[in-house]
Amino acid sequence: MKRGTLITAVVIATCFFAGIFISEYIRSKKQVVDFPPALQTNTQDLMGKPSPGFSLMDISGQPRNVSEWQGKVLVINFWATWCPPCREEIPHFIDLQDKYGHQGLQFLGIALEDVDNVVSFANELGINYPLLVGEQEVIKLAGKFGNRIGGLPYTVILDRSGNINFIKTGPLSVSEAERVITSLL
Amino acid sequence: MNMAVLRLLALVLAVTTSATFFSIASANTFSDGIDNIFGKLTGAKHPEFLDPEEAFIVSAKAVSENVIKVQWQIADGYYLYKDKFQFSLQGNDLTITNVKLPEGKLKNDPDFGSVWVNYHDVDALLTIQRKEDAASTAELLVNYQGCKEDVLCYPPISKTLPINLIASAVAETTTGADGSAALKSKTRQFSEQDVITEHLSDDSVLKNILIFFGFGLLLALTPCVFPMIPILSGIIIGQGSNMTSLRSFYISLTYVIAMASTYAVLGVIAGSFELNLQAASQNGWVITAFSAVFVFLAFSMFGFYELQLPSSWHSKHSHASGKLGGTLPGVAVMGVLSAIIVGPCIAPPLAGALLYISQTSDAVLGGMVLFAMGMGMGVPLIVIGTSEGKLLPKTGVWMESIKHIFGVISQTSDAVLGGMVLFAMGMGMGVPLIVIGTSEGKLLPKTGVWMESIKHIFGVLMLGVAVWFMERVLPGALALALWSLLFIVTAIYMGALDRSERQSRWQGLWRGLGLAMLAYGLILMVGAASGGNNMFKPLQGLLNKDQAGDVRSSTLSFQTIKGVDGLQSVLDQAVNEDKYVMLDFYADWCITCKEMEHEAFSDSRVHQMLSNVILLQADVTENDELDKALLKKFSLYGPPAILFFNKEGVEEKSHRLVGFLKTEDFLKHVNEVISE
Repeated sequence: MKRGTLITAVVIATCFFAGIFISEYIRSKKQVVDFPPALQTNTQDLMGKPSPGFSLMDISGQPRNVSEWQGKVLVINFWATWCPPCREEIPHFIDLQDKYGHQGLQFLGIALEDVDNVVSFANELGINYPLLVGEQEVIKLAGKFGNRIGGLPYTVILDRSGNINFIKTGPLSVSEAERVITSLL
Repeated sequence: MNMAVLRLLALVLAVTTSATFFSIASANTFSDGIDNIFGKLTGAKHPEFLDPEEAFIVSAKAVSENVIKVQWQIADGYYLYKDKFQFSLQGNDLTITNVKLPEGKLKNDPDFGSVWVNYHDVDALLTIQRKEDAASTAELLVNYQGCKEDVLCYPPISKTLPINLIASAVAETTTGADGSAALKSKTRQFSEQDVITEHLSDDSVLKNILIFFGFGLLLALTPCVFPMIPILSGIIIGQGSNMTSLRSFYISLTYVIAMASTYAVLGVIAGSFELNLQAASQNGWVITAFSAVFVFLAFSMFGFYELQLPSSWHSKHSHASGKLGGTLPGVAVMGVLSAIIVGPCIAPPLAGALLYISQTSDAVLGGMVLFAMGMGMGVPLIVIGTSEGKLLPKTGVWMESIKHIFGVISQTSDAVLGGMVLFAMGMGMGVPLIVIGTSEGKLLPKTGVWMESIKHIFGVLMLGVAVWFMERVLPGALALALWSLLFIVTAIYMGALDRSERQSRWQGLWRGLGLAMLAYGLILMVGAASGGNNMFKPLQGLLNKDQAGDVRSSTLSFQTIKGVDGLQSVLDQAVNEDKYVMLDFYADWCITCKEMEHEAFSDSRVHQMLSNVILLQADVTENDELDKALLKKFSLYGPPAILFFNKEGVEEKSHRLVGFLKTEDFLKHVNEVISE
């Protein structure tokens, strides 16, 4: 009987530590496995690929198709007036359009909101490039360009043959924009 | 000596489980802390921009009868605009009368002037007004919008949050009285998977375990657990008449613990790897093997051979070690097998649990939660198993209690299972037994005759279960032929064609019932021969052919798609055509899919309602890379699953279906989707 008790105690102790060990082991495994997927994989995959075709309404209500700007270096900027960082970079885009427009650079603004806000903002700043607007279809289009989280600003640059050359989530600095643009012109 | 072994076994299980549990409970916060610190130090681990779901974590719950608290946890460096918060409650018996938001901070904006924004945590308190008979759950629609400071802004976000309202004192008693009804009403409002996932997401470990134990208890009232009753009963009856309550309790407990442990293991595996559990456990060979085991057991019930699993152990342990010795491992194996094979029947809760596990990536918690669920499911089994030992000699009482349980099952169940019908058949066969058992029980106190009859009934039931399993791997007509065979052979054994002199009055009844079964078996045979596959409408194929000349006109005609790209191209097309899309995940082994096909999908009203909806079907039987990618895209573990996409091609997650729905409910559900 005493021996039985001893065996029982040993077995219980072993099990107890085995339990702790198992949980620790699984936990340690988990930390290796549990690695968040890299956000940039989508956009990396898109590099060099042809741009998806699309058409959207411009601010005068005319449908415009991306093929219209074929043969140009096209900077597609997803933005909205309610997005402070977007508003900040637009004056730079206006300058760049002035500077390189004659060499075949074309900016294209795609706004995620309704027309009225965009028109008044465009007039205020004197935006010198076409502006397209939309809601769900814009989010979806941004998604096709690799913008998985739908964040703004989001800028995609296409080379003259319409292939995706550059993608930037968040503000695009003048120097970076200029570097990419000049390399493509 | 033997009892000591049993006690030791119970202790081992209890201690291992609790040790694992406690070490996790204590390690949880610690390792989370480590994770956080580690994540912040090494920027590589976290992407530059958070997903909106990560940047703004939102949850909502009722804090009192008429106050709902909506909580946002906003990541460092991110903010939400105060004037963009919007709240609305679905359903016209609920209104929001007041919204209280924290003050926030004034942010200077060069263009727009100053705006109020909220950083870090936002607690919004909504005062709601409700009618007395308002539902116990509600869906709260929240809109919010925010940015990462100076860098990135997110488009407006809308989320639908399910909320369990706190009932007023009057209402509480009515909802509390019938737990299963409450669960049902939830399933009506949003899909089952959603409910379970939501339940789990914001609760502590212990709470999770308790909740899942409760889920298990409720599941025990569904036909999912049902096939386990004959299995367990068969085991216990097989032990012979010298069964004590204590011993049958141990057997039942072993069976249930083994079953629960299997779920736990499945949970852990699912948490660690991304496996299609159902596809793995529904492999044709596994099913066939299990069916074979059942056939083997059934034949022993008929007395073709004496299946004395214990007897070989008997001889080893001989006199001293008693009669139970070797059976426990055998019982445990049966428990494990039962869990694996019967498991998919509980696909919705299982999917919910597995989804939750994959969200937390906490394999251990997932395992524990599923273990708790399994134990909950097993409670009635333990009760039945234990009571059998006591009640078995009194056949009538015992049958009565089974019948009672069956009554409960049939009331709460949604799915119509072949097994249930078979059980009903068994009950029919048992009626004379009940009558005899109760009226003449005194005259025939302890004969082995009744035991034999019950054995035979369970033998037939086991064969039925075997055929039921095989339905998943065999062509419909062949399965129907097997059913037919089962009915016919059983009928012959019951003496349907016996023309000798009747020995007793009861024999006549037996023969009559047998004859009825023989007739039904023959009809099934004809049905099978004419290509029918529905046990309940065996001649459908024949009749349809006569009337319309088209056998398969009945079920919906789906367009089959393959892989994520295949789906996307059809979705794009659907957006252009401004149509809703319904995507049905299907696999040959998916019994629920077939039930849906037989019922809802064959209903003309459903056809009509879906006439303007693009119907897609993804056959994931092969479970190849493309299939896996498609399932993963929607965080699914396998069929059954029916997804709805709105006219923008975006999935209506709250309307996802992952279980069986009756035609009426399916109609309602579809109507909700397309009327929005």
